Amino acid sequence: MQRALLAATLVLMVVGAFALALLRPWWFTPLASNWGSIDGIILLSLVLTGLAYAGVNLFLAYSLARYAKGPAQYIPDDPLLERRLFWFTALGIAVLLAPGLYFYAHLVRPPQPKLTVEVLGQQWLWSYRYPGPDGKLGATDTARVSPANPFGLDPKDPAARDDVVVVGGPLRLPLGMPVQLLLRANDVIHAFYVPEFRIKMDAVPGMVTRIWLTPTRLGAFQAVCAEYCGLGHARMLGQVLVVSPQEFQAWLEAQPRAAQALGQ
Amino acid sequence: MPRVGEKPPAPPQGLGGGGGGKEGFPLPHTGLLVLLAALTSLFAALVSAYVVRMGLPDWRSLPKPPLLWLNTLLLLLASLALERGARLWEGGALREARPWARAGGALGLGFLAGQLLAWRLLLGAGYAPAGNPAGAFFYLVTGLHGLHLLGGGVALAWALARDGRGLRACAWYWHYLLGVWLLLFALLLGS
Amino acid sequence: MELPGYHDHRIGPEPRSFWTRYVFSQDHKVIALQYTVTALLVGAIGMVLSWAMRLELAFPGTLDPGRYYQAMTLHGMIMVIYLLTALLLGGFGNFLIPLMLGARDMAYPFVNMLSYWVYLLSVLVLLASFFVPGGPTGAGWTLYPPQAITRGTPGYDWGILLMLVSLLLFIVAATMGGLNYVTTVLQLRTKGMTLMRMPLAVWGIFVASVMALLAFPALFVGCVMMLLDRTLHTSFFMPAVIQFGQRLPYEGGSPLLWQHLFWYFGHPEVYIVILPAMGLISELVSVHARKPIFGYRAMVLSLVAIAAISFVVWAHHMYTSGMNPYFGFFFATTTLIVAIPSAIKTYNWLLTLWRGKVQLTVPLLFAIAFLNTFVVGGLTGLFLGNVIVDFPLQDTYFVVAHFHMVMGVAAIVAIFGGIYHWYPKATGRMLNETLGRLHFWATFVGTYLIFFPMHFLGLLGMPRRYPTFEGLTFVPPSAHALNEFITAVALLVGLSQLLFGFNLVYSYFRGARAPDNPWRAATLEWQAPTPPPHGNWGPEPPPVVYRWAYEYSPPGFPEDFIPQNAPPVLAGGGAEEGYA
Repeated sequence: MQRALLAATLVLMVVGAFALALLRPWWFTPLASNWGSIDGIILLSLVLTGLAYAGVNLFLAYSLARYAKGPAQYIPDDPLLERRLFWFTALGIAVLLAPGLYFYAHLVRPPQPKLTVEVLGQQWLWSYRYPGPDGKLGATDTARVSPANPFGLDPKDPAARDDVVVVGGPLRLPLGMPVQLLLRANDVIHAFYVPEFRIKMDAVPGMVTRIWLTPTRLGAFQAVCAEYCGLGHARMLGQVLVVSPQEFQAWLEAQPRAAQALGQ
Repeated sequence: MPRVGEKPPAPPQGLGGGGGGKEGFPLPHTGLLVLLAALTSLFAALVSAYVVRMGLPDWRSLPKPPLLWLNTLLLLLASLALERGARLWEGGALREARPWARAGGALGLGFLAGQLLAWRLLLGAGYAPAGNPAGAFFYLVTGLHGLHLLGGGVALAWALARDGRGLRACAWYWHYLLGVWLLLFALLLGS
Repeated sequence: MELPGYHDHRIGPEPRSFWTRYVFSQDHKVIALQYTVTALLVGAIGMVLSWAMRLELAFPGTLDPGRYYQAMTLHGMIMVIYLLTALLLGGFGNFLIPLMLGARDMAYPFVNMLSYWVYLLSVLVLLASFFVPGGPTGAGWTLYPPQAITRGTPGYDWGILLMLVSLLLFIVAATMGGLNYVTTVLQLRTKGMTLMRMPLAVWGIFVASVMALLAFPALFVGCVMMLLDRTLHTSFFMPAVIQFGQRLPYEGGSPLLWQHLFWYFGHPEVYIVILPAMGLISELVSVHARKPIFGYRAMVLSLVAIAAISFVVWAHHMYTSGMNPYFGFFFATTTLIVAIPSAIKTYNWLLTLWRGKVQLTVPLLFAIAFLNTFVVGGLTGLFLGNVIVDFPLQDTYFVVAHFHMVMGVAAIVAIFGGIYHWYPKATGRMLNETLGRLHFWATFVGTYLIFFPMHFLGLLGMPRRYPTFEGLTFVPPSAHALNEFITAVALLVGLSQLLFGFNLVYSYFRGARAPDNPWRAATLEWQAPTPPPHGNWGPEPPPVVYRWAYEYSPPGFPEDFIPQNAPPVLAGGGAEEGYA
């Protein structure tokens, strides 16, 4: 009786797993970037691991149901079977790894970005900096960081004077253009993550990290902090707006420059 | 699927270890070697952290007090003395071994005293642990090494109290720490 | 009176006073019990902390964020280090190694005793952090700088200090223990017990102990450096920090250096936990299915392969850390490769059950729970290890579900199975079977309901280490409902562990008397008296071993097992040829 119950439970667990995957009460957010390949690899992984899980549980359920009375058979090993299982597993691993590494190579070697935006994490809000008409982000220095100048811009550097600083966001990005995000932090490690964009990257004090994406959908999205950063970690939320390139340009030109904001 | 043949396949044949039916690796001081493996891991982690940090742009080289050379000599002599003591003890001459072992211990303590003096010299010259990565590493590295040597000193004292049992292992341990020191010293000199 | 043996190994006379018998004992069996009881008690504290976390997640506002993070940190650290590592190595390792190898005790019994007391001290130092100003650290069990030692994180002043000191003490204890386990396996096996005749439980603990000796030092170095950063304001890990408008007295350090040191330890650590568990499962499966473990040699090689490879996968915890992105290619490859020996072991356990005589004893029920959850956890590791897939999933509930499945469920149920299996030998009593079955069902079904749906919250993008999800616009109301459901199940599963605790204590006094070998197992510990006396084998010489550890249902033999120490002439039955 318990044997049948256990076998049934193991089968039900597989059914439950498949049901969750097919009915998808909780699933990816709708994609808004070029990184749909990640979704594809996750689906591939779900299929392969789902089959593996089903195989294991069904085998287990069958074995314990069928082999209750014995006598057991003395089978200490089977080298041929073991070799086959080894290569079969290695094949499965390769099938997962190959596309994974292939698309990772895209992530590591960004195309020439049309736009670079700096993202600053600070306990506990996100700020952003856009290059001005000169297309360059100006120099910064931690010595100059202050509440009024969170990026630590050098007001004497012409490349910095025309930058646009948005403290607390929202982050505006133009549709369809590859954008490189440079991430920095002033205090502790944070991570910038927009679920619809799929990718995330830590912002580490003392370093500049980077990630790139191409927004593929207009809309308003939420950025969350994805690296524990203290008491306000769950409140470090930001807004991301993907707008048309014209709207983006118009908005950028209308913003006050850093030089103004610093009163210089 | 595996099948049951007429003759069951033989279980795995025995492998490895021991002779004379005692079943152990005929390796003297296995316990000590195991401990040294762990210590090697410790110092390797330390050295790799050191090398990584050394590569960062704000590294400022530290002056190396010539005292460190004297300390190195003391440790070398300590190892030699302890080695002589261990060999004498292995030959059965506990009475002759004792003074050598004690000398080794004293020289080791001399090394430690010298290291502390080197610390004072550097602190006096203004090289505090904070504010100077090379300084911080110097104190950390010499501190961990010194603590392990001190532990070895305690073990040596215990061995002497037990008629020299464990003296051989103590001697190996000190030679090991001498080797580690030579490596660390070379690293310090080169940075 | 010296007990006869095959090695030049003295263990001292039988202790006479209460203190030397039960408190300051050098007997590995007593030390094992001390480790086990301490680990289970501190694990219970860890479990209560998880209830606090779950209550906050279901009913936001129950705890303030500071308390949530303190509970989260202590829960994680207690479970991984002070429960799992201590119980599997210190508890099972101490109990099983000498008995399974035919030794009278560990190689260095005095050091072994010290190892327990230093472990206990480390636990007390950790618990003391509840009583210092600011409370325990809330930095997360990964203790990442700069946040771990700066304002904005609970316990950044005193709590973190005590945590670091506690870890240093634990590492000293683990080194003293590991020294014993490794040396005993290498040097003190009884006559005839070659390495390839050792039970897999010993192999698992042995390989894990070697790993521990090589991996813990990296954490040691990291903790010392963080201590110096915290107390002397050195800058090993601390870059220039401007926090809340103030410039802190640090400069030039690398937060990533901590991550490398921590994970160089941290990844092998999870295998240090799972390898002994795997060894225990091999015993449970073969004994209770009356069938030799399938592919013993491959099982041993897999343990060694997993151990070796596990030292070169650590940066899969750092794919999104900002480290050199090219490292990702290397670590993704090694990480996915380490899945292969784990898969081999899984196939072999399944093939052991195939055509066996599968008796649904309580230990085997927990072994089945292990197989199920280890497979789930291992498979989800394939997602996270595949570098690009980790980018959306890192720091989400997918990771939380993954590591709870492998460590929070699989390793724990292996421990439960092991306790149900060896309790009769250690105490001379059987654990109550009805309570055991209830405990199994509640735990098995409950943990599935808790952690399986969690994977999908991770796919959604729900971040981890959040006490509340208010304000997250992409999280639907059903996810909040799921959180409440998970909390309810978690509390029930937690309460059902009380059944286990009660069973352990009650059966000690009122349980049915256990025969010497209730499971009819072939390994040496079952050939010792119950419970084993001082020196394990009494005044007789220890048993001599004639065969491997898995002689179950040998064809043509009247009994369905042959103990390792049954001499060939007694085994008879004409089936001895070809049997090593």
